[in-house]
Amino acid sequence: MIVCVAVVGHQNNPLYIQSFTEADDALKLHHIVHCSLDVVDERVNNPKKSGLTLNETFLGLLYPTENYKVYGYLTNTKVKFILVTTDLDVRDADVRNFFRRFHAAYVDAVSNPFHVPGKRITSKTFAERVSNIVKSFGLSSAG
Amino acid sequence: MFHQTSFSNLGRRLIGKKSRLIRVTGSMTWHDSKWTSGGVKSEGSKPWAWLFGRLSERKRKAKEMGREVSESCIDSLLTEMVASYCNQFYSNTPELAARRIEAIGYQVGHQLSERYTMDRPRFTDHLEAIKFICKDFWSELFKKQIDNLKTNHRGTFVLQDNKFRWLSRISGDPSVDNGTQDPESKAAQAMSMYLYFPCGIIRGALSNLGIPCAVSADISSLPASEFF
Repeated sequence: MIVCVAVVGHQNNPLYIQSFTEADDALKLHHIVHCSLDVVDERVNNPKKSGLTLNETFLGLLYPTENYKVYGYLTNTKVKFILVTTDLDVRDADVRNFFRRFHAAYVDAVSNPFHVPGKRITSKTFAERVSNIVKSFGLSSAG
Repeated sequence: MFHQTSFSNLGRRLIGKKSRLIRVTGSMTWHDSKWTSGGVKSEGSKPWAWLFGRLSERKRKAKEMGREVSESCIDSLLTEMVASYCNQFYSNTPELAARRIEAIGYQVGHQLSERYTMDRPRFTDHLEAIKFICKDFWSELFKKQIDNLKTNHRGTFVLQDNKFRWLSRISGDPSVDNGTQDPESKAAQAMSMYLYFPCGIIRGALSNLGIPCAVSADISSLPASEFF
């Protein structure tokens, strides 16, 4: 199950962060997202060490913690997407697919002329779409 | 030589650069002229921003459905936008009108670049991003690539389009027969207003890709145009 997704701007400013848990652990998840930003930076600056193939947007598994796995995605415009999941057995293809759909949703959200670039995304449509994507991620990996 | 003179005579602030320094210029322009900040005037400018947002949205849908936005629609919209800003909102201050038009272009470029880079690997350096602008980005906008790309390898790029679509229906000053425009002439000045919008698009796209820059345009003979 996905417990948290986040969009982080090119100056590491949070654009959108949403957790999907019942428990009151939003702060902890935010902390995990925050930590993962350093890992993203490291990956991008030392592409050889981390074995990244040719500047792909998908950064793969950033780091595992005891309960979570954190995945990252970096767009051409230096916007980072972070995904925190509790599933231990996740297929790469699923995550790629998730990020692709998430990216599409993000692009549609920022194309809204009333969205101010660099500010938080407040669109309800975007939130709805994201929660749909998150829900279907759970289904596809279970099935 | 001609470029040099017409350039300074037009009094544009430009010169493409590599620089952190220009970044200041760039972002100032943006804030100054952002349509949300303009008090009374913003009432007038919002519909344009909105309309262009819708257009980029429509373009996306059109692409998915294998259709495109009518070229004459875009032409009319650009003409009307320039006319409104120059003759209605800022008839006394052409500089301000130019800045506003450029700001709208900036927003459009910003959003389009986000969309068009979606399925691409990340760019490693500036040249790659500029090449993207010349090829894919330009093809998406104008159905053709930039004809000529020059650079001095110090951060200045010259993009030349020999048949710029948005100028192809504008006729030059008939009193000038040697093929070059007098930079002071009314025709050249009016025409230059139409180039602020594509300038803004390029600047928006590049700054979204992490390259702060200044973009200016120059016309030597219609309908060719160059972007710095």
